[in-house]
Amino acid sequence: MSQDVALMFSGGLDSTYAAVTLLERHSKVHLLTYTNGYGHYAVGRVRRRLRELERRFPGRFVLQVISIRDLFDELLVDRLAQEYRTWRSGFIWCLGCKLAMHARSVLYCRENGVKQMTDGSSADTDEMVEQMPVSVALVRALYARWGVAFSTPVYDIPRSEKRSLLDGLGFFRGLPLGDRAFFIQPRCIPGELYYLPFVLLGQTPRHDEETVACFIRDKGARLDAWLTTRLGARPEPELEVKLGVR
Amino acid sequence: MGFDERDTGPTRPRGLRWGAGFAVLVTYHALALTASSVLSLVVPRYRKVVGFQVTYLRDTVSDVISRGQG
Repeated sequence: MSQDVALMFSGGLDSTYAAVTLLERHSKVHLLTYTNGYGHYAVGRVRRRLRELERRFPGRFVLQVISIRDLFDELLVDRLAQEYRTWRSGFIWCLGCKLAMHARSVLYCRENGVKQMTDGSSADTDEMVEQMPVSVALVRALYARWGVAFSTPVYDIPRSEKRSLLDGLGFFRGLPLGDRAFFIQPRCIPGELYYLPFVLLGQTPRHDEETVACFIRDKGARLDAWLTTRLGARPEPELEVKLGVR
Repeated sequence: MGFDERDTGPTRPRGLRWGAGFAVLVTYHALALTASSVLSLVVPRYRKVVGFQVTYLRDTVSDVISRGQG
């Protein structure tokens, strides 16, 4: 068993599967759940998932529910109208929130001596801006600048395989309705509004690789400054970023 | 976070199904805007997002209609 690992955790299929499989290589998994103060609700569902995990693997998980509201305000919300005029798409809300989560995860890892950070990003949902390969690559670079390794260990695992493992362990599956399952994980109203044209009407979300990369680099500089203040250290120079999810 | 688990990608609906989807979209936006407006009376930080939501609703409706059905 190697050292502790941290996992961005929503309690959904991908992150729960990741939590279980990370136990094969790590003695303890730090589950990090974030709220941004704007339309995140049913966050208690992650505690239900934690209880399920604890029953099956006692003593192997630590859950932290952390507010990123102040950082998210600083990064995006305080200049929301201006940012929207610049980037001209609602992706800025989702990606700004996720970047704040990642920066807060860097801080958590550094403060708790955790060298490895993970999340449940999946190729099945790579229409989501934060799970695009370019986003994953640039987020990995953010962690690397602060001495934390970041990986997406379940990116290429098919959903059927994830579901099979969790069903076999008897995890709550939610309420199936059409091709969806409800009541599994916390909800985010702004995120749902952004992806609604995709979900309801099949219209692809309004973000492209180049714009997304520019946005992450722009915000990355702000996040580095935020972390510098919190950690009293400076980031490592960035090596060449290899695009891709691994 | 966001939508709960989805198994497959969506198809592009036409006709009545498109109209129903569009109605759900606008209704959800309107409800979210109403909720934010009410919240902004007691939670000051929501004042920062209400104006943006109006613009975003207008742009989303315009974009969805311009991309049309199928």
